[in-house]
Amino acid sequence: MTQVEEGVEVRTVVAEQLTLEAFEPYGDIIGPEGRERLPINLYGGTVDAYNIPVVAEEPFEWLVNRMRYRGLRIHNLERHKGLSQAFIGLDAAPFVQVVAAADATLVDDVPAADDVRAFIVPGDRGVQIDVNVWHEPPFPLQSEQMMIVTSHQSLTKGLQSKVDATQEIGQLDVEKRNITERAGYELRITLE
Amino acid sequence: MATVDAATEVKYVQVEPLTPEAFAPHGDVLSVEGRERLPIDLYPGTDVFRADFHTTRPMEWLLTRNDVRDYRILYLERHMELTQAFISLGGKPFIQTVAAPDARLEDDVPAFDEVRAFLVPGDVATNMHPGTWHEPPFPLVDDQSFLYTSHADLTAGLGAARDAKNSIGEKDVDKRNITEHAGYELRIALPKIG
Repeated sequence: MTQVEEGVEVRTVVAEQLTLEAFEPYGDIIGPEGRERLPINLYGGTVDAYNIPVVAEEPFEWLVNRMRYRGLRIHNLERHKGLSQAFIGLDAAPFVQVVAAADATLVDDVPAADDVRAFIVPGDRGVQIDVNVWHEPPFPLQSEQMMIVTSHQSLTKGLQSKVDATQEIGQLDVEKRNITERAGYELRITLE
Repeated sequence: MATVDAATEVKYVQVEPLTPEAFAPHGDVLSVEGRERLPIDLYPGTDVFRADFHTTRPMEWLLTRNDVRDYRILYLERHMELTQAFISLGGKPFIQTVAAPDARLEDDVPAFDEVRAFLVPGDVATNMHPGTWHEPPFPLVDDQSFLYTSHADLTAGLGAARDAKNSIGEKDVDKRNITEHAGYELRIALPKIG
């Protein structure tokens, strides 16, 4: 869907329900659905255990994010080549996760608008995106939310680099590209 | 507190509120409290803080779906090769039982007075030091999911056969049955409301 608004075209991404099938090209849902129960039987059938693989080329670290509602405009898309990055909500509130596949078609050096998708992640689930999947940090849907995000040193340090003239970062393990600077349009999420 | 119940003595651990200071001998609290905001100013209203994670093996997630179980500490276990995090999905609180890595052992399990139980609010997580004794989190409601950090050997070790003392001692899982080793039952005294 496109519309013209004071000279800047606005394109929208409609937020979708998160399902295993829909999220499969982008990574894993952090939840028990679709996983095989491990043969761990220590607590009388009250505990079912599952494992979820992680790709991490460097020592892993935690980021604790305190995120206030920032609107639903996708300013940048970024990606990391050394980590399958997890986003986990801590306070039962859903959030929106924006993604484009690692092999998304690039137009003007950013993922084509048609290749960008937005998923509503329920508050009792997280997501782990595959290496090189384009994304924005989670969009909170309430005034303040706490999240745990996985990282590694060159990612955390990369995020602390100075943004360049086009509001981008291309340092360490952060490749962050500005949609409007590159492609001329504004990209926004709509909730249905 | 100890009572004699039939032939088996029962000891109770009282539940304490979680604070970074109280938890420090056992690990880190993953919250913003006491951490320095990183100079990351890419998004309005977003504050980013970092916390350490340590592992000597490739990390993986272990996820569990839990129903409420008896608030009895059947085992204490520990892992030497990573800092293990407990993250509650869905913002629900849970009880975490721990004993410090250097806890005094009696009958080859952490002495009763070294064992502590913390009420972890659902909106923070914990990250235990290598070697901290613990039980898996105790949920307070049915159908609660937790995410843990693990590695392949640890996950495999949890599925290993138990020995004559109903314990596991392989693959970075040192899991010891309290009653088999020390003869008493160890239980959590839930906080009373009101």
